[in-house]
Amino acid sequence: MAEQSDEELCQKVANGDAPAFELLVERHQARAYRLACSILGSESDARDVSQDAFIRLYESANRFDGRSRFSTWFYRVLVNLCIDHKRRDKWWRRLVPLSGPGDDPDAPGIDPASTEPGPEVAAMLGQSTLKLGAALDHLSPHQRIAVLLQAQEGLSSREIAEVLKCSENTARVHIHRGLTQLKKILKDA
Amino acid sequence: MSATHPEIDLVPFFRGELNAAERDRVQHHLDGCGQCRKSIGALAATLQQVSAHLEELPTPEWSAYRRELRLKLARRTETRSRWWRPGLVWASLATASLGIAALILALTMRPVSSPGITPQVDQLAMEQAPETVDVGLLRDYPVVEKLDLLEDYDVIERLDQLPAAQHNHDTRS
Repeated sequence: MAEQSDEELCQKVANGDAPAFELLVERHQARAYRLACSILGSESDARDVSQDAFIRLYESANRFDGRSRFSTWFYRVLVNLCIDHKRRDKWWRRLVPLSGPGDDPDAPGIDPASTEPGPEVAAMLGQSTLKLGAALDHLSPHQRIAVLLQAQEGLSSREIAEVLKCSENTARVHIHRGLTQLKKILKDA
Repeated sequence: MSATHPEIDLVPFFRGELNAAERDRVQHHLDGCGQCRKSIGALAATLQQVSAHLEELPTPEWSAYRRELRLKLARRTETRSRWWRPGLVWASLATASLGIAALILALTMRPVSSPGITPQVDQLAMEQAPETVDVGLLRDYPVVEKLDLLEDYDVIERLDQLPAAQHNHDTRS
């Protein structure tokens, strides 16, 4: 039997088909988690937000009209959740600073968006990957998302524009500037 | 070589996203521009590096991840179904109706000013008169009111002709 497409599975999820949902989760869990991890810079946040994206998929699968690819639609949901999460986190940290100014001048600043991995993760990752993670941190959120979507999902400029709700030309600019900056940072490092 | 480099079209070019006309335009530029040819290679390599970086990121144990997701979904569905229980819906509707009724009552029972106590125009004018205006005359209004008697000029002019008045005058002198 031919493998069902994401779009067909999504249609089934809209009709309350639980196994179809399980299958979609299995297909996209790793990519969704990695993308969220690269945007948010926190494994636990990435876990929560990517699961929330799947819950959103389950609840609003009937809103997927099939005009775009399933992945474009789903990653738009995920990216929006990531952006909301970062915004909330930023707002919360501004309201309740975990370390006040002057508390400990030698302590590293708390940056929720940082993609710096913890010591255990760092030990597992190669040097070049670590460098790239840090370099991604220097990109603007839109540049980072555009580059990640292109590199991981292979989304086209038009699809990235759909996710970011901008024009195709703007998406191309984000990709170009993001990659150029990454190249420069990696060269200088 | 054209003066402007099609920088933002380079990635879509090597990914095959461009239409025929765009592709020809970029290809024509690349044929004569070594800088863009070099740039296109570097961009492709960086994209490849990002892709590899993502693949290397550690991932959670997927069966635990899905179990957690199922639990979250079940909890959410339960909360929603509890919220949408018919009893709760009716209770919410009843409370909302009561609130609306109370609001309507409060608006309709609000005391309205009766015509009997509607302030007179001149009173209003007094109230609205700025404090700087000299209202001395108005302050002595009772005195002024009594002066209305003087309006009868005939009487005033003939005061000396009044018999009683004449008589009083004689007895005093």
